[in-house]
Amino acid sequence: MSETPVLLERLDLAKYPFLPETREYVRTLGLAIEDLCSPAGAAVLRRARERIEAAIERRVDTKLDDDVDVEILSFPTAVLLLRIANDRLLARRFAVAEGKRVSRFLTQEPPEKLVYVATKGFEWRIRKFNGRVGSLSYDFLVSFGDFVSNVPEYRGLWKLVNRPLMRGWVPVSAYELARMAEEATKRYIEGRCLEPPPEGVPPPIGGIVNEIKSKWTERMERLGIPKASKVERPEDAYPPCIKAILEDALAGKNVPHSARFALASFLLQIGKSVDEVIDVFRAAPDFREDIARYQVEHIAGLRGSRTKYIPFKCDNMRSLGLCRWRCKGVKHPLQFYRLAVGRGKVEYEEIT
Amino acid sequence: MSTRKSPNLAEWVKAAFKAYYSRASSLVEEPSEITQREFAFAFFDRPGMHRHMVFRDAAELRGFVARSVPRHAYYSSAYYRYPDAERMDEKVWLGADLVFDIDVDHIDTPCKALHDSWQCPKCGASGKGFVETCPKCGYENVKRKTWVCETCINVARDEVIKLVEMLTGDFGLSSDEVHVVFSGHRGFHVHVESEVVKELGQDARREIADYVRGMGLEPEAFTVPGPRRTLRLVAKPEDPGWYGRVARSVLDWILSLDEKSAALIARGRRVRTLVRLAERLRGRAQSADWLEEVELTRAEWLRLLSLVSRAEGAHIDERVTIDVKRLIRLPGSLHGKTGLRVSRLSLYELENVDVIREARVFGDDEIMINAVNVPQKALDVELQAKAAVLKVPLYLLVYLVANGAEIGVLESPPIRLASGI
Repeated sequence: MSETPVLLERLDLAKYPFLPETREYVRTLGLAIEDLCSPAGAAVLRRARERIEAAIERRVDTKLDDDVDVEILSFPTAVLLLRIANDRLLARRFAVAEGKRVSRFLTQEPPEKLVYVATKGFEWRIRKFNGRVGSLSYDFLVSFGDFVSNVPEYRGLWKLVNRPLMRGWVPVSAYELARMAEEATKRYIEGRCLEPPPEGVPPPIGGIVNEIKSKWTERMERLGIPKASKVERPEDAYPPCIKAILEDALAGKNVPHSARFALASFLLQIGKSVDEVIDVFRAAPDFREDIARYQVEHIAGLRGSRTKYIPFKCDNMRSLGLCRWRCKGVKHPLQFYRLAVGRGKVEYEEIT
Repeated sequence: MSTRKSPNLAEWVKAAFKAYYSRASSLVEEPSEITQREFAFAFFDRPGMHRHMVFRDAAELRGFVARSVPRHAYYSSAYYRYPDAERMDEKVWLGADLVFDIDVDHIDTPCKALHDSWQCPKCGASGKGFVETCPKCGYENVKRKTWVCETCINVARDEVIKLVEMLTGDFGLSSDEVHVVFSGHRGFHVHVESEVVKELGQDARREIADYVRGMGLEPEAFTVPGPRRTLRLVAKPEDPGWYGRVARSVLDWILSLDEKSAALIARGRRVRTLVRLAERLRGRAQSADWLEEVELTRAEWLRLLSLVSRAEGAHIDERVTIDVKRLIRLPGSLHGKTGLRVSRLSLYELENVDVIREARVFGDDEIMINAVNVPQKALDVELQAKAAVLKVPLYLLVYLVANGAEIGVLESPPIRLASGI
């Protein structure tokens, strides 16, 4: 359905940084890293920094600078600063904020423009569709691969099983398509920010990156995972899935491998020691200290790939049959724990 | 005749595998994009798995299996830039086929009492058939001895048919993108090779796995709020995907609803209410607005939807589908526990051929054996389990020995391939 002619304005390039047209335009402007230190580059640098700082403060910055070129160039400049900063979490935070910005612009666009941006920017396959299935009406069809790769969450109506899948096509509303574009933008930006930093960063730029990083660190310290040793009765803040596995393990039931992994990685992440975690599995019918130690140390990142593993997210716990609850606003067991320690309570219900 | 496991029979199985691979290595199929795949093999006389192997083309792969006679042969569902790199992160993942695994291991088939047995290492209890936990002491790690027969394979085949219908129907994949392979043991693999799925990540694959299993069906998708805190069905039988499946299942459910089946989803007085509703609807000619009168509470819908997913979903091992770096059996190779050929089947063959006959590569000459503890049924043969001396076809003897039955023979059996191999 890309036959409908769509005219892009220069302002669109400022709104949608992932479009091939935008990238081409940026190339023709030919901004080099040294230019950012010149007076002409100062405005771009200032705007780039503003966009990152808005993200750190969890604001969605939908401002468009009066100088459109400044606005357009501030995006690749922000990405450059984040590549130099080399911080995975900060990159994600920026990607989330910018994704929301794109989605807000997209929801204001006419349908042809929305489709144009999604097909050109993300190579999605989209068809026009005006129809109802069940009680809902839809505007477009997207290919199932594009759908499952770009939904914001895997539950409710975003879950494929709850959609009327028609020979590989999933019906969506215009609003939903914009929401999927938000996810795709997020991933696009995260990917770009994780590219290796450039060589020869001029000192003034390095200075700005350091200022951004210290602002971010300050913010993060208020949000980290509270250590179990600093929490009174940390068990009370465990999510129901982890509590259930823990009870089974302590009762000497034979807990499946995936559940052992979830429990061990959870306990290690909240600051329990390797020995404390091994003790949890002592009652297991097939317990062998040497094997348990090897595996727990592996999960703790002391062996092998040196990765400290985190537990499965809720979607995966559910698929593995380890979760039969619905926890309000929670997507990850560690998030439940952090919220429960912070607020003292998280609402949840058991799904029968 | 000795009843101890005869060591020369193990050698005989190995020689039988060698005969197959020397004569019929051309039956070993090279996967698509062979240079981007990792291969892995297990051998008879060496422990462990030999991984990270690569082949330039089919001829090189076939030459290798003919020379080395693997007990098990695998290739990666993934495509890699450097498939021979020894560390996973150095291989550089380029994509993967979408793979489904259907296995009767955890489905309680009626035939299991004929060929499976278990023993509890904790309390010493033992018995025939399938148990999850020891029925006497509740211990969960019971030791199982399992065998496969044609009934098992037919149960798995029905699941595959359900799965393939969803892939070609709901997902709109064409029949040349969907490949069905008999694993040579207790089930089937279904490989989807298509650009649409090649680059999907784990989350996306999990969604597809959940879809075919019917996991995560939520009442809100199929209903609208009705009176007295109920939810009223809006899905129709002709709707696509799970909308239609749910509506058709609800229709069937009403047609046969009685106190007993109502009690599976409703509690207390609601049981009577539902039975009365069903009787009232059944009294009328069937029409489209039938379903619109089905009003259930959210909890009742959840229980009903879980029955629907159990009946209509395909029972796959979701871990295999989610994994984007899986090793899977190479079509045309032999399964080391059965001596059956890992066999690709067209969708027509899946529904119409005798799978064991298709996968048999050894002859059916009758061999006299002396055995204890053989299953009553294995593959397509019924055995006199109590008899001390049995006559079995050669291909079954390969299976009995490869799967660890205690067997003695008077003289070493011949090695003969099935006709047509």
